[in-house]
Amino acid sequence: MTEPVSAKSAWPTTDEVKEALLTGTGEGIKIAVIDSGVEFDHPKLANMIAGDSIGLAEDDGRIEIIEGAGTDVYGHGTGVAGIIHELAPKATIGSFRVLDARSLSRTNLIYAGVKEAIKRGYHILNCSFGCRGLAKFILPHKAWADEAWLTGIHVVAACSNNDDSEAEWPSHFSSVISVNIARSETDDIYHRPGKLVSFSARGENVEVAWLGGATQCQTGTSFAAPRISAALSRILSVYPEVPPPIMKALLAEVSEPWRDDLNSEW
Amino acid sequence: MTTQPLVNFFGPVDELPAEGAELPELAAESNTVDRFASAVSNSRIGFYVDRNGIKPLFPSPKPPVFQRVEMESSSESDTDMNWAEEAYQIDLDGLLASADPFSDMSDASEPQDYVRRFLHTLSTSLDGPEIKAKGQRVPLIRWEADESNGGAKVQLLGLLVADKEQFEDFCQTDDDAFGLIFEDAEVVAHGLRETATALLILGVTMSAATNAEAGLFKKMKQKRQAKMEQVMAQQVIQSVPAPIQQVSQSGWRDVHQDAYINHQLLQEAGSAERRIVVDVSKQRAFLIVNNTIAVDTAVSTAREGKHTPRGVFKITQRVRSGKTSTIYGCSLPYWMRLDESAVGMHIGDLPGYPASAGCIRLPESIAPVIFDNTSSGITVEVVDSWNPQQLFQGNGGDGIFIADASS
Repeated sequence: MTEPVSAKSAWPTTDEVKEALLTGTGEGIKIAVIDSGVEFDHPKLANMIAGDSIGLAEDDGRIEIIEGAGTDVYGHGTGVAGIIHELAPKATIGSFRVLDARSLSRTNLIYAGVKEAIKRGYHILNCSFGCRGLAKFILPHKAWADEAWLTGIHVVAACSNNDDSEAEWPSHFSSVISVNIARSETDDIYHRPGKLVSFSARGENVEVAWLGGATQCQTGTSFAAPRISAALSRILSVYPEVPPPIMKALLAEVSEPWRDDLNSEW
Repeated sequence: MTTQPLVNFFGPVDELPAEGAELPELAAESNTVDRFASAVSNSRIGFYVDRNGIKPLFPSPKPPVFQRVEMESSSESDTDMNWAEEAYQIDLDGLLASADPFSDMSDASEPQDYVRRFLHTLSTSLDGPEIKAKGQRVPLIRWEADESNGGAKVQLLGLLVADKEQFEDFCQTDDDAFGLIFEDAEVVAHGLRETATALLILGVTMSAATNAEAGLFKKMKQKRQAKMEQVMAQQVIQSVPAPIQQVSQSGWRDVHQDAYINHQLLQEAGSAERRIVVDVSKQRAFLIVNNTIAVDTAVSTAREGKHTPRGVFKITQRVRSGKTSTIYGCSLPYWMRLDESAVGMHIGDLPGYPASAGCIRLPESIAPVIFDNTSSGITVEVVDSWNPQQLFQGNGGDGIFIADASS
């Protein structure tokens, strides 16, 4: 379990964060890909430092956590892991497979998967999924998001592809770094204040790793979020003590300001 | 290529036409769902749904029995309805009364909301393993709004059991006689494609009661189709995924996990000639399209003491799901019979050696690909040994895809 945030943590200046974004490699930082699994032997993941490989399954209402079963059953998680690895080559990437072969899941599986990642000391949770923003789903998602927040774990979540104002969990929790697509060909991160989903990154027509050693051209907020996860790991590899609230503020400071021409048609 | 896969239904046994009886005459453009619904149109399994929950409209002293029937996915008026072996007594009243999800009606206010919740509850209740049918079980209903009390009357015609591809076909149909009722998935990955395809099908409704309802379903269908077209147009596959690796979802074993599929060839093949070659010595099967290997997969043929016949056969029977061995009693998904023999190809365990009683077992991930890209009448050649180089003869080798090629 990650230690609670210390009040004496050394926080970097914005200039130092900018420098860390350039020089950090993600070394020593563990990122949990909460997704459809990761194909660890994919050519695009060669030399990746592999963390846990966990599969979660529901059997008659009971959640089973299966060691070594984090292999990908769809391709989506491999795509996410590939983006992180490309941008933070020394980060440790663990797979917590909660999405099924149709890329769907349920709240109780997400809850169990995230709790397991928290228990195993991951620093960043990449959540390229969303749960419908119905009231009945809010409490379990809020519970794990709050636990992450209180224990200093950074949660990065993709927002709805339909509309970033569409309520979803966890992307509409204010403690989360929520990410939309920016129409951009660069690695820049963009910030738009005054919105629950305030960060954006490239996620349109991205060539990503996929199941079976393949690559595909994909679009979606799913593929923007891991760019932010990778950026966080680069910062944390230089300044590991930065807690989530400070990280969110610093990231906003060092991001490029939002421009209307970054709006994606999607 | 036109295939006519079987569609599985469970219908109330008291309402189904007797086995072998002729089905009612329908318009030529009617599809399989229309034909089934027409045959069970007098079903007296009905419910009234509103804010207070679900109440049976026609209380019955005993739970209804649902019989599985198979129908060809065809518009031909003489389509058969074949009775399968299985029939189940289902205590619908009990299932629905004990169902928890319907107790929370906070996000329902219109009759169609109640119908959607009813379908969600029913689908969840019927999701248990006791009903043997592979694929999603989707209630098939008629319904009408009750203007005076704000609820809805629902007539349950039966259950449609279909796989994802069949539902995709239904989504593409222009038939306005029925509509698909969708529900957003609870949690979904946020790739654009995943978002567009994440709608869960809750039910199929026949003949919407009002134009407004018909319009609603049509609008949903159009919206979904438009989104899908947008996504499909945008998707560009950068490399052919080969070999594929898939994890079995239902416990079938495949120690090889080394199958090769040339998706591009299959997509572009159209009505091209195709055949299957089974190489017993190498324990491999090949689907050959236009003299090019489209699928190369491990198989498991007869174990010691059993025999897989050699020769040139035709596929004479195809049953996507529900087929069981009359000899061994085991399930034979994606059954493709060879000539009139007892031997066929189907999903089975592949332990890495010949293990079957004579049939040609296919990996779970590959059987649907072969099934969907072949049809009755195509040739299956079962040989002791086969050299793929034979394909090179006569065309100079251009365009040949070999299993270990990365192209």
